[in-house]
Amino acid sequence: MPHLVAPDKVFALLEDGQISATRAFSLLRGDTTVPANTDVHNQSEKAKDSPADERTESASDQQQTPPDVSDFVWPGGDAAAELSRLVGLSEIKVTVKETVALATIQKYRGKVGLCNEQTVLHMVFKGNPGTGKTTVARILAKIFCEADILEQGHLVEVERADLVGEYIGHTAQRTRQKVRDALGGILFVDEAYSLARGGDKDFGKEAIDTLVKAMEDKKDEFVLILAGYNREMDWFLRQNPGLRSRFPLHLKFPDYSTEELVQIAELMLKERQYRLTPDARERLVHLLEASDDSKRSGNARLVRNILERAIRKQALRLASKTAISKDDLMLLTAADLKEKMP
Amino acid sequence: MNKCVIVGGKKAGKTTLLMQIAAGVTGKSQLTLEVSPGRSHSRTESLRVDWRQFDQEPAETREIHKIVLPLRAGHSSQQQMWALYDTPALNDSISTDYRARQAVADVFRLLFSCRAVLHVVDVSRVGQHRGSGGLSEADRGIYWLMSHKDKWSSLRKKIMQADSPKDEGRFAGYRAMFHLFGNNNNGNHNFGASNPSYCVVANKMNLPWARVGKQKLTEELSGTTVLTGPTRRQSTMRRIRDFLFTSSKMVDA
Repeated sequence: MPHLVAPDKVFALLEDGQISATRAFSLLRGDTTVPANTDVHNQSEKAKDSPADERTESASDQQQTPPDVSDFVWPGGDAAAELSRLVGLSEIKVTVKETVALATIQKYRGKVGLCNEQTVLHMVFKGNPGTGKTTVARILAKIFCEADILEQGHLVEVERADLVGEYIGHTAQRTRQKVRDALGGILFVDEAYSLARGGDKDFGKEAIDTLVKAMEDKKDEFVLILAGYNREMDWFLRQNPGLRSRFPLHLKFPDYSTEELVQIAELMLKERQYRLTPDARERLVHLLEASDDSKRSGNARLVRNILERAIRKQALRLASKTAISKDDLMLLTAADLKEKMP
Repeated sequence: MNKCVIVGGKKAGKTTLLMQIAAGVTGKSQLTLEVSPGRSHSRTESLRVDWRQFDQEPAETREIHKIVLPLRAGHSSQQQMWALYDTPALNDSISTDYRARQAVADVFRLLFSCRAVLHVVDVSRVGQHRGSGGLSEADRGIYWLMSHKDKWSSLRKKIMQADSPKDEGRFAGYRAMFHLFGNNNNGNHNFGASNPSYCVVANKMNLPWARVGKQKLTEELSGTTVLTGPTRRQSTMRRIRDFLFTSSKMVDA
């Protein structure tokens, strides 16, 4: 039989710099001895071909043992690649992978007549602003679609104002409409805690009740994600004890570390064809470390704002020069990042 | 939408081929490419091929470029949308740049997920090698992967048809994998469900030793369709278009 090494495993090794492209082909051919690669400096690597009989034995051994499901049930499409490209969020990525695997395998268990528990995919996202909640939700919708868990894979993003109406009955009507829009995809309720803020007489409660009913009635047809800040979401779930049990997946989005924020900055700049000088990079690290907690909680948005400001400063700096090179146009210097965020 | 990936070794002429196809289809001299698909970034590239530049060091593609083109079958009104992917070279080096490594991993993902694979080989380099050989390890790897497509299908068939409870347990993970790769909602044909159509483009035919190289290539990669790549005088658009149309009509194994 041809390769039984999961292609995903090979993709991961390539990304980690543990193997070259030619080695990847060897692995796919059935040579499963992956050399530990400690020196990643454009080094040449000579693939060691194991004897043919050894390869056959190794392949047949793998066929005999039940495969590790986590290696196989990950769709290899653009969305999965998009998720793996996000900086940090390692725990979130693992949870998403497990969820997709579980939903797929449960579906297969059902198909072969084994008892299968209904996989409930409704989730709560908790995290500070700019930690990637909406981005992950958008990618998740596409992944669920690639994995055939959701039909369309679109994301309907709503907030309190989109759900809560102005008179009795209006809220249920508006909420049901949003649920209908989200069928086949994900309904993402941002700052969901605001639905419970107005007290018992507020129409927000009606929106929650309608959502809970839709979660039960149309549980296979859409995924509901309630998102918000850590503390507020904890309060919200305490106010509605029935809600907590209806959301088996609680994903906590951690704040990015300084190194991760710098990586994000470099990615943002690369997309816009800018670069940081070494001094500017140091300056950025300093600015991020110096920002107090309240500003730091802006996370990726804080980085974006710093960069936007630096790009404006650079433009002003260059406008006063007489000759401008291509490098000048691309480089952001420490001077451009000099000022603290207001 | 159908997908086609253009792969090959270093300086084989993959980008030039993409530019030729794009220019031939659109008649435009500039087009917007999606760089590193999946990210919101694009840039406009000139499609004009400057043949004089071939004496100089060609630029190195470090990211995946995607372009979507409408292709017509001959003079008929039948039209298909194709996403074409230009890719970085596959070789035995490991880049220190994480993004470049991601791009190489993405090339492998595309090899598994695309409907058609155009494998570009610099035949003048192949021809300069004495005796057999001249093909790089990566070229042989691509050929191996593509020529085992029938075995992928038979593995899939065997697993899907297993009916004993023991087999069910053994193959659950594989079934899930084939299901996922084989049934996405975009109408693409992925790993396991069917395998990509594959052809080799013998490139740089206007350079010395190219004819010898093409002959060696045809012998070494037996059973594979070998198309002649674009030259100064001759466009291969029609043959490539025919190949893509045939690929899109292939029935799943």
